[in-house]
Amino acid sequence: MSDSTDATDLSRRSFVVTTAVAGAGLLLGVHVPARRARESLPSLGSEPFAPNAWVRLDENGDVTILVHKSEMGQGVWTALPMIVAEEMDADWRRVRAERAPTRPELDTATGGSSSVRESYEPLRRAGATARAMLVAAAARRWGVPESECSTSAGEVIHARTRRRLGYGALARDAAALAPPDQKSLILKDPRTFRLLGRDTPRLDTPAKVTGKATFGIDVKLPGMLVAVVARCPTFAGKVASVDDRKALAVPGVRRVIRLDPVPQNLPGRVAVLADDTWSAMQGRRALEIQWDLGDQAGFSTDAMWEDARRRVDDDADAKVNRAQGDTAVRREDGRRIVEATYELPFLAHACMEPMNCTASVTADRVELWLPSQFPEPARRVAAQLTNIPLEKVEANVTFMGGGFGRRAYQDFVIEAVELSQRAGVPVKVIWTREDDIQHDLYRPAQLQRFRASLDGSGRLVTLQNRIVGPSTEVWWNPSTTAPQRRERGEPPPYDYVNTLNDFVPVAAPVPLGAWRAVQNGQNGFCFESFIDECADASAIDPVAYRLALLGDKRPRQQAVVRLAAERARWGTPLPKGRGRGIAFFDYDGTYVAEVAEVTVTKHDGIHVDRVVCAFDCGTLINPDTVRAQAESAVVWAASAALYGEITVRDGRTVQSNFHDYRVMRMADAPVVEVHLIRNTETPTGVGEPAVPPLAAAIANAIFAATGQRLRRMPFRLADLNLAAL
Amino acid sequence: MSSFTLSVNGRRRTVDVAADTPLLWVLRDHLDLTGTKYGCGAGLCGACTVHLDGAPIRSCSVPVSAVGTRKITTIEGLATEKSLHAVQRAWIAEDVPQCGYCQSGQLMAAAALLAKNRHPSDADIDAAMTNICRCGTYQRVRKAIKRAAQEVGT
Repeated sequence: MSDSTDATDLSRRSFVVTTAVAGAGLLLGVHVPARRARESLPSLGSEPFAPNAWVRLDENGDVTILVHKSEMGQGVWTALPMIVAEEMDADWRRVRAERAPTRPELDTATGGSSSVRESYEPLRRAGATARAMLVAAAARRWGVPESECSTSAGEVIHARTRRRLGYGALARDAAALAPPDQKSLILKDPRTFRLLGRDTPRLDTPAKVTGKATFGIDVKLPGMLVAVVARCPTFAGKVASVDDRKALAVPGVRRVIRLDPVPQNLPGRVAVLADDTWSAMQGRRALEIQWDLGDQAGFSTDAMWEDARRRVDDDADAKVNRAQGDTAVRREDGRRIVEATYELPFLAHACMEPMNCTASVTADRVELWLPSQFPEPARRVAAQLTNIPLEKVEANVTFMGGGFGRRAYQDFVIEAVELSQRAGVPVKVIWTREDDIQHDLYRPAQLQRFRASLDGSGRLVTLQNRIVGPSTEVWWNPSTTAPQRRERGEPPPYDYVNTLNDFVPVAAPVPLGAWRAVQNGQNGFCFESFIDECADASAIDPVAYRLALLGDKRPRQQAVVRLAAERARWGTPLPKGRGRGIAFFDYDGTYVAEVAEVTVTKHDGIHVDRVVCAFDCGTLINPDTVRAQAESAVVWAASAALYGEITVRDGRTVQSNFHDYRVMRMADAPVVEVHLIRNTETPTGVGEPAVPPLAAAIANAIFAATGQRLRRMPFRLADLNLAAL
Repeated sequence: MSSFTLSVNGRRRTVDVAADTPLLWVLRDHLDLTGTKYGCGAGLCGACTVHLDGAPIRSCSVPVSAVGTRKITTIEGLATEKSLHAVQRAWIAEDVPQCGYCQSGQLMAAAALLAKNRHPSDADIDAAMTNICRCGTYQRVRKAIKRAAQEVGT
């Protein structure tokens, strides 16, 4: 943006404004109401009405649409411009995407599958406003009523006189007009959409197949040093002493800087700054550091699990999150009691692009190059650290090699800012893969216990769900007395009568953070495994059981369950050793049902052959992106279900790279079939919703194949009774 | 520090670096060819895949001193001036990339596979394509390889 200050000021005047910028044609600001605050993620403190996306129409007809959300693979770089272009009736071939500036008024936070859900209406209004002004400009020029004009693919058309004018030719006139009253703005009937709902090639693909896309790690500035940082292996340890003579003797190494611990997840560190990455890595290797490992150096996940298993019956320590009705599970009136306990380990994100950040701190200004989901909090952190006013902190958001929640945090930003300030030159800090795995903010390990009483027809009378494990909120704020919000069971998405959700905290010094789908991931596995156990206890087919529990009041939910079952040929026989399992999840109004087909053999272990996914996210923006996100979520979740486990011993993460933190590769990946429901409901999220049900679908399929139920992730052949296979 | 003259994407380039510097960092930091990515530094993930005389190698694990006169091709040199490589066209047709970070390596591995095996079976693809993609684009990578194979084969 040539002048983002203008846009900020304009936001205070009205909902939508235009301004003529010399030579730039029509420039339009759009305002998106601040999103609701997200649990446990840094608060943005946005103003209630602020601009955060722009349409720029040049006189040559080129349309630039600014994207205010971080592109990390999920497709917002294309989906958000499509929404604007649809209502604007822009010629899609003339549309290009550009990153919106990071300003405090903008809701640039990207997470929780919220980008389309929360931007849909405002972006439609942005497009419709631009269209209305272009129509008004054409009508004036022709001296005809606006009502006689129509638009199509970047042109205003007056059918009666067969006249047409391209948007570019109208840009200057339109920019001089007052914007239409928002109340009079007419949005399209979704049934008349021309662009939304059609498979549209991603705008970022050409740059990503030619090596031209710029990621954070690719940033290079004049005079920049590259920093590689030695980190205390324990989560809260410190540097006792360091001998840096050998490191400084490595050719290319310029500085060695000691860094103190920063709450919550940066231990004491020693940074080596060099002319290039390899020299910095060699310099780090040459450091001789004595660590003060701190008082958690004896911690192990083995001991934590013993503690958690012991405390699962600890009613006195349980904090009630939700209690509805008569929550006692009683054996009476012929009711059936079902009880099961599930365990999930800590998980790392392992984004393909390791954490990195580039900062240039001068006496009165900071500039950041950020592969970040939360660039606005990054600006604030930089301002606080340097004592430089927020308006002097500029943030450039780059493409990023995966986010998955990891890039919502500021640890890598803090490091780059501190090092640039102390070194007096621009610094790019690069985490090695080992740093990335061992100093992640992990998905919380937890144990979940369910107890249910079922009536004679298998319906849920009372459902108790207890979560035992470390608390993300306590990790971020040890003195918190707020109710447990993150690690929380949810009421079932089915008919039930009584429910109780509580939480028993377990102490662990392990950094915790958001991991694709956040707590829904753990809940999806545990709850949908348990529902299968209830179906089995009631001797009812798992699909029929879910359809009955959903009831007729949830037709969209029932429809995805039916569609997945039908396309997976549910009920047709499979050879010995193979099985199908189903799971359903309601992710904030996105409904997903998945049927997994697995093969279990003594020789080859557990293999997921195929996953059929039925997906209803309301109005489809770019269907091919929705399919891609479901395919992605299936592989992501299958990887966690079959391999993912972070363990801690002697206060430090055991795993360090892809040899011992295994992730799924092509040869192990299932065939994924995605079936989309088409409707005109409000669009909901797509990046995460296919994650939560998948592990349960696999566990349920293993049960169907073997008669044995795995209640601990990751699923291992060794946990099955091999003699019975 | 030593001087090395390399053949990169058809051009002679001279760099002055430590002999043990992995080719990856020579390409990225010294020759500004940042399309080749760092993912693990241990030859495990394939994000750094480039060609040496047409064969796919993990450039994070090959020291520059071991390259010699072999011709290096990176993602930036995969297309000709006239057109994209068949795998790049196929990648666009299948809209393979999501975050895109691993895709340079995936494309280089796929191009090398097709150069020696014009009609790879699924098993051939599984064996050759061991690169990690955390976005899980594997199914589209497979489809794109088959599409490119068809184009190359006809």
